[in-house]
Amino acid sequence: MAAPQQSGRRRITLGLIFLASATLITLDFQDFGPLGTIQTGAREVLAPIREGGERIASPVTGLWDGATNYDELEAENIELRGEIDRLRGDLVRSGVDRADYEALLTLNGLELPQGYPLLLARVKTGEVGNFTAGVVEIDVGTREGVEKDMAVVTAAGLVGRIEQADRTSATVRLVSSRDFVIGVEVAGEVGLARGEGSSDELVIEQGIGIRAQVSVGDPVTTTGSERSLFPPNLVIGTVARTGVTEDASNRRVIVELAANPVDLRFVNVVLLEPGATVEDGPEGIAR
Amino acid sequence: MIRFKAAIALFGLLCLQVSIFAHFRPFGVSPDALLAAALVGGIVGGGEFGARHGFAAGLVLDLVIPGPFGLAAGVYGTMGYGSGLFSRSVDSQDPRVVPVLSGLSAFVAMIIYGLALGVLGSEQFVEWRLVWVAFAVSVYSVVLVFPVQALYTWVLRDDKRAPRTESARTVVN
Repeated sequence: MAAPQQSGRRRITLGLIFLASATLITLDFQDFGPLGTIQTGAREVLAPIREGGERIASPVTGLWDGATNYDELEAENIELRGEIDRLRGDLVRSGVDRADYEALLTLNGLELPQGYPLLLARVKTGEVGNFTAGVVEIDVGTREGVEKDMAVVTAAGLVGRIEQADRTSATVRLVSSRDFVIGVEVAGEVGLARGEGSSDELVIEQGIGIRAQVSVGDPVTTTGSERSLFPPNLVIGTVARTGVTEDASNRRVIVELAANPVDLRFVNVVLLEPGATVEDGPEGIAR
Repeated sequence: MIRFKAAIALFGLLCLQVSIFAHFRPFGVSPDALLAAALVGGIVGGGEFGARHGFAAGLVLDLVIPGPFGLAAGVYGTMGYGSGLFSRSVDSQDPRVVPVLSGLSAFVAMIIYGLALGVLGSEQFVEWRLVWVAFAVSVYSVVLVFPVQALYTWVLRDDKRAPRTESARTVVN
């Protein structure tokens, strides 16, 4: 008689676990505040342990990486040397272009666009778990003025947005992640771009009409529209290919990202409150 | 007392996970100490203990990973229950049972977790790499199972009430 009772009790326990799990997932998707607070608190408590682990593990992991990825590192080194040469050429050309641009602005009585306030951050190593593709952690948080949904950039362009901000660290959702959706401007048209999960491309399938004049190489930037979280004119990338969507209602535009979100070491957080622009004045700049 | 010791064990394994295992990722995959805890908890303590302890192990992992909160708790709880139930049907005296069962269960757990992530909107994890991650985690679990088994034998040793299953009595006695 005891065995069926025990079996029934086990089934109830399993049922309760399913129910509790489903409830927690639902609350998480609804952005239920206390859950976020508990997670933030746990991460704060564990932060010193994580940092200690990083200090202890880095010599060992460095040796391991050196031993197992030597060929890859050598190939990457050669590729980077080529990239440096190409960038030196681009730098000279852009200097000439910039001088022309500034001269044109002066002639027309215009001012140079203001830069955005940036906060330098180091990308932390050592993700917990094996399902962290599409996010990285940085070493600045709410203590430094970082807030959820702020834009994260490198010198090349947009790399992501702040997904979660703790006191001393923050999680960045990378622009290439499939969960990433962003309003973009290309060739005067406004569309909606989505990450594809690949490291260097976005896809625009909404908003760009079939007659829009979009060409390969056109720059793609943030829109800065009222509904956009990001300030305007942040470089995202350039048009790599164009086509039409399956229902032939829109142009399908593949965007090659300007900033490669793989192997990031340092990034900048744009310290503007989400949805604000520099033109909003000092109150738009997060403190 | 068993709950206190189980909580200590989970906290210790969580610290290990976020400090050393977060950085030690041979072939790009990190060992999962909390999954090993859920599986061994089930094998040593029986299905019900495995379910409850697996849920708790997944929950503490959910606190520090970016995935949907509650998913690891559900998957680890289910796998803890499953490993406890399955271990009763095999010869628990055989020394190969615990590592083999843990390895297989870890593989299944990672596949379920990845597929569940896909169902919940993160389709990027539903690709061939998931099989590689599951395979690597299962291999690490086979290694991890020995110290974790010792830990859970200690957790359940003095308890007068909890080990109710045959497999638990076998280990405790």
